[in-house]
Amino acid sequence: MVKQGDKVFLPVEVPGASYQQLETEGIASVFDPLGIKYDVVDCGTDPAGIIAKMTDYMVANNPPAIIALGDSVAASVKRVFDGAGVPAGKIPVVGWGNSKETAESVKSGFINAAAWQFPSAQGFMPVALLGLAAAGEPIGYDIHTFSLYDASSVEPILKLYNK
Amino acid sequence: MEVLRLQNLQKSFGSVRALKSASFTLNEGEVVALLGDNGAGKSTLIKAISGVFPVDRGDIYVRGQKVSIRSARDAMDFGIETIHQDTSLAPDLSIARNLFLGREPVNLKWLGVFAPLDLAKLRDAASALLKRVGISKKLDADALVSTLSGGERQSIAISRAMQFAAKVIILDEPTNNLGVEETHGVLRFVKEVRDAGHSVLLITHNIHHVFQVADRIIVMRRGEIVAEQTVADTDLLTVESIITGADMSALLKETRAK
Amino acid sequence: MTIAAEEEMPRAKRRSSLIRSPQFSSLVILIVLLAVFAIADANFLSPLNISNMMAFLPELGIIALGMTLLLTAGEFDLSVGAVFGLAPVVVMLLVQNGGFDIGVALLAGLLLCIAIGAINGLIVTKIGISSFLVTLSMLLVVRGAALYITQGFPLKSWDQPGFFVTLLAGSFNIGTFRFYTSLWWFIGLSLLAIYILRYAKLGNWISAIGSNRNAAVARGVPADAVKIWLFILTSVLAGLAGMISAFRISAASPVAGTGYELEVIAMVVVGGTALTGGRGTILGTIVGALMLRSIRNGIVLIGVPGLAYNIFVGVIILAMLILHALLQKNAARS
Repeated sequence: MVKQGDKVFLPVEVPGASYQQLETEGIASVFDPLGIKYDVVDCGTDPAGIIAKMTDYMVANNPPAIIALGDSVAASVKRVFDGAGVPAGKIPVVGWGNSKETAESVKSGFINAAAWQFPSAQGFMPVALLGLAAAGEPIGYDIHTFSLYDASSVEPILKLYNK
Repeated sequence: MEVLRLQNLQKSFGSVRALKSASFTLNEGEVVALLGDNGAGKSTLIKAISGVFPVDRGDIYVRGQKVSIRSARDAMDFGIETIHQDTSLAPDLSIARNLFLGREPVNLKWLGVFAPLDLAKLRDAASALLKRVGISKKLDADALVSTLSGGERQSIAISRAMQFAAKVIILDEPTNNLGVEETHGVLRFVKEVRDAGHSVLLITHNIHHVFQVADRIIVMRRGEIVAEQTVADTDLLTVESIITGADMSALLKETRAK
Repeated sequence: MTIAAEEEMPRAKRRSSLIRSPQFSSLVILIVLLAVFAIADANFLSPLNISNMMAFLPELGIIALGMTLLLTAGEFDLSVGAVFGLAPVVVMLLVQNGGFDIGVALLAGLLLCIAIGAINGLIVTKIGISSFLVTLSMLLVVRGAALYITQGFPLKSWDQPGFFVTLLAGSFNIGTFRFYTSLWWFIGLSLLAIYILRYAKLGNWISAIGSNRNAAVARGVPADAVKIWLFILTSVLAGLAGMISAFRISAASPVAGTGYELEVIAMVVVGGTALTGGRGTILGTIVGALMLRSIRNGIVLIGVPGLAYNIFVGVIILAMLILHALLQKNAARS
């Protein structure tokens, strides 16, 4: 879907924040050896400003793919595509998925896959493990509180948001 | 004929008695100069008359009617127009708009503050006024006040006061910061204003100017009126000594005798 | 001299004063800027790009109108961005958590804006603290309130169509262009602001207050009352813009409007309104709003690296202000 020389669009709300740095490092470790370029774009935290900035970028650069580095930029993808006249599914999009808008976009095909990292699970599971450890139970395994969801697995998440 | 009479005006700021007691009368068609050193109470007196603040005690009569002046608007409504030094015009507005500031001619009056200005009337009235006061040749009613010289600004401010048929025009240091030629222009203008039937109260530091235009002189010291004389009955040196307080008792006696 | 020559004079004078006016040099700069971007990237003038520019521009432009009137009277309002965020948040909370009718909630939002503006105005005029400090504090209070009542979370999207949504954020097509009703709001409010500032008695007062407050007061102009109402107007316009924006993007975020105060002041000043009061131009502000929006759009289009946008925005604004000052100086000399 993305080939050598392509420049992938990496919108972010807060450039310089640790999540942006770590994600960009990870993306670089995959893309650099393959000769794929990427453009981290400062979109700000203001919702209307994010949509305007991302739409401008789409119209200007017609990027081959998008990795939305944060929840606010991911949640804006559908409106950006509407504004820029890009149909759902035309280019691959992945990103953070902890919002109703993003989950709906995954369902309607604007976003291929999104990261699910629900805060209460992320906090609850390690505490449960520690509780077990304190009670003398051996902990011989890891627990993942992070996963990707796509159109086939989005339903439970949508159900949670519509509660 | 008496136009303005002040009776025993008093004003204190905290423990400072800025105005201990001031009484005088201003007649129709005369120029009265109010003289005094800094802190003599001239500013307090004119601010009280022009409605900047109320007096503590004392009465003000306009044409024999006792009036109460609580705001600049009140003073204007009673026919008292004050031209403060340097602060009488808005430099970013045109001459025409300055002339009618606060009393704009409007159409559709029921719209209140949203009523449209009657621009034609504004311009015509301004041009007519500028012509009447003899400065139409130089000045365009649409010109911004910021493009005018100090003397021109004073002339505009004085014409504005005349235009509303003011009974009393108070000029606060009108020749401050002006060049020689412009000063003479303004003083000539003051005489024209008097000849048109207005009464003028002139506040100034410059005694020479007083002798050029004033009919009468009132001198204040430490919040009180210490002398009142017609220009014809006195001379420059005498007035100067009254202002500074030198040999005052003799002069006071002379004044009272009259 | 012939009569014809005498009649010629004022017309020539009027023409030269138009060229000399600050909004005219802003317009010249805008045209140059648009030409440069159009040549640099063909997409710039495409219907799609223009539609996108015009979706966001009116929301900032509406705030800029209020700011222009306020600056002309010699005062600032730095709390507009925060009010832009708080007003829709309160409306959505009332509807979603309080069960109020959307119309009632919108009315409550407007009343809140009136209260914020009135507090700003009363403190500035009656206590005599500079509007810079008062509205900076208000920015913190209002933004803090928006974050606190939402606990920092954006409110669930509002997607039920209805009268108010159509009124504030409906969209329509003209040919291949798509516009929002916010554009009509912006045009209508601009005309009203032009009328007030240039043709109404109130406009004369506003300019006089900003130009020389003491002179205006000495002529019986109620300067404090005018300023208080202008603070209220600015707050209400900021709140209205916030509601329009929230309906358009179907979400009310407590951080919406962050940094708008400076963007809006930049629009107003670039358009030719004096930061020191006395001289204001609504036409200039419209030009300024178009200018800032085109710069932000144009630099993305010509391919500036994503993290370098602000460098270019800052440099271009600075360059424009310098050019503006030079044009003005030149015009004044001729």
